[in-house]
Amino acid sequence: MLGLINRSIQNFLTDTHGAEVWHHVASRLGLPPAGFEPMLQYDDAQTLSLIEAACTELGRSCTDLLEDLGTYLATREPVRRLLRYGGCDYTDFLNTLEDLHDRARMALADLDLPELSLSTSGAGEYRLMVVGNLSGWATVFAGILRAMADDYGVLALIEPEETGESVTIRLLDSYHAQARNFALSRAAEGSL
Amino acid sequence: MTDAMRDTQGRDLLPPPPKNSVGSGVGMSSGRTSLTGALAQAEPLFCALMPMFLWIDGQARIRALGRTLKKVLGEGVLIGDTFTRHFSVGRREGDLLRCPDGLSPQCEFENCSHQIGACGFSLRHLRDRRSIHLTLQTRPKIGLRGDVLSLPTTEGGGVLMNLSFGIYLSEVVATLGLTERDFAAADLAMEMLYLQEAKSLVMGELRALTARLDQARQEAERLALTDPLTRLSNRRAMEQALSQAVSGAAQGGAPFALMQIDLDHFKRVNDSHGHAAGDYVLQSVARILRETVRHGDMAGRVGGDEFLLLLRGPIERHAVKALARRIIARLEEPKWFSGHECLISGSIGVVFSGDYGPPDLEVMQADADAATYSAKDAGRGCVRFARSTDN
Repeated sequence: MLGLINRSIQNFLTDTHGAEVWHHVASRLGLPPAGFEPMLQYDDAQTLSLIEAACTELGRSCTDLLEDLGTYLATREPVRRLLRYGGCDYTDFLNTLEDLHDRARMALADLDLPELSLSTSGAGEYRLMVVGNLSGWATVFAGILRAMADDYGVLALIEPEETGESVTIRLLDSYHAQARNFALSRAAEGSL
Repeated sequence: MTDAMRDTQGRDLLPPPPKNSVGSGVGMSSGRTSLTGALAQAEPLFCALMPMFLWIDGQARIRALGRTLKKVLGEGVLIGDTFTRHFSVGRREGDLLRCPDGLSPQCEFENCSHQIGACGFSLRHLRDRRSIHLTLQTRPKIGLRGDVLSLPTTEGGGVLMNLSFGIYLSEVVATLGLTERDFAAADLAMEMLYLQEAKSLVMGELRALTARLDQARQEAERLALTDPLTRLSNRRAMEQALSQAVSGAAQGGAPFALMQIDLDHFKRVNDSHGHAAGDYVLQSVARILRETVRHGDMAGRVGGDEFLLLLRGPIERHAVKALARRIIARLEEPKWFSGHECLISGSIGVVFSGDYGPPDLEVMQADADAATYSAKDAGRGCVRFARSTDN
């Protein structure tokens, strides 16, 4: 797994729960406080133990933590912008999610995001299958999809399924609120 | 269907117009199926499919254009504007495509600008081109490129173009505020913008990684060349510097002197007051050496109680002797550690690169060692020169 994923979890812990929480998690794992290098490769098992250690440290369920992680990721401005390239409205965004894996690979060949496939089960009802090398990705995507629904200004019910392999989406109102601004030309600021 | 309306593989670019179609196009020739008329009918279709579509008629005037191109040219653009009001053919000033008819009798215009596209006649020079480069008159930094297709003169002439922004995409998007809807779905513009943004983020991460690695490398290098206790150079660093000094002097560069300092009675301090006292004494010696050497000289700890000074540049024997005596005097000052008086001294041996022709590092080091031993034999706390009668 590319360190970028682990580093994102590290940043999530630091930014939302404080540097001290991260330091505790790092020492549980026997890692230096500097943590993960985004552009280096790490063992997949390390990502799992990182999530486990964070859940233990915070006394939270894995589902809660991963959903929050998804929301955190999608609200980072550089990531939000890249996701917004997915479409001019939320439906369009959902329909191009299947390209996300390859899009990410196009930018960063080592970044192995899960494979996504979307099916429609009725008007405004979707099911997103998430197949990746890390169980829990579907939960992360539930968080991402919720944050992006806010971003596009739509009202939607988004739930990860019990199996942990898919997310259901019910679009209730496509014009619920003003969508957040997205101009093609604004250069991304900050880092991933 | 004329040849001009087929692409290179001979496929039809337009469906045949209905038999009863009434052409309204410029230059429609009577008695033939009007290509221009068919084009005029298909124009909305073209504009919908190709937002960067441009149709220039046989009089070199804008006959039709796609919605994004309209946005690029601005509010002022009108159907019927001359082509050269908005475009020139070619990339840059000085590199623009000139009409070769300027001085020939074929040219009917007296005050011709010799620009391709200035008149309908000049457009025929685009006939055999597959692609075209245009420069915007109002934004000369922005170039467009695209396919070009000439219409037959029997149909009144003119050209069709399907343009794109090419490498100027991000500039255009930034200056004109274009959105996703301004691009055809088949256009790779969005992918290019996405990639550009994603790549710059990845580059940022890589740059940060490189900076961190470089810092770590410098730190590792520093540690590899430093004696951790005294923070003087270690044996490895001294050997590197000495090899450089020797090869420099051997090639006629600056001479140098090498001073070896062995502490006297250091073992006694260690044995009677402990290693902490010994460490304290070694750190005091390091401070003395740092304070004594000149800028550009180098001090190193190369063994337990063995130090080296590399004195770079020409230096007189009496100056070295004075320096050695100052060092010995300061080494002999009592040093106090936890209420214990620690007394040491130093025996010093010196070699000069100028005494060797050419200098050889191993020989010089052996000689410096021997000189240090003769200083010890002479009762310690003194200095001896190798290869010299001036002892």
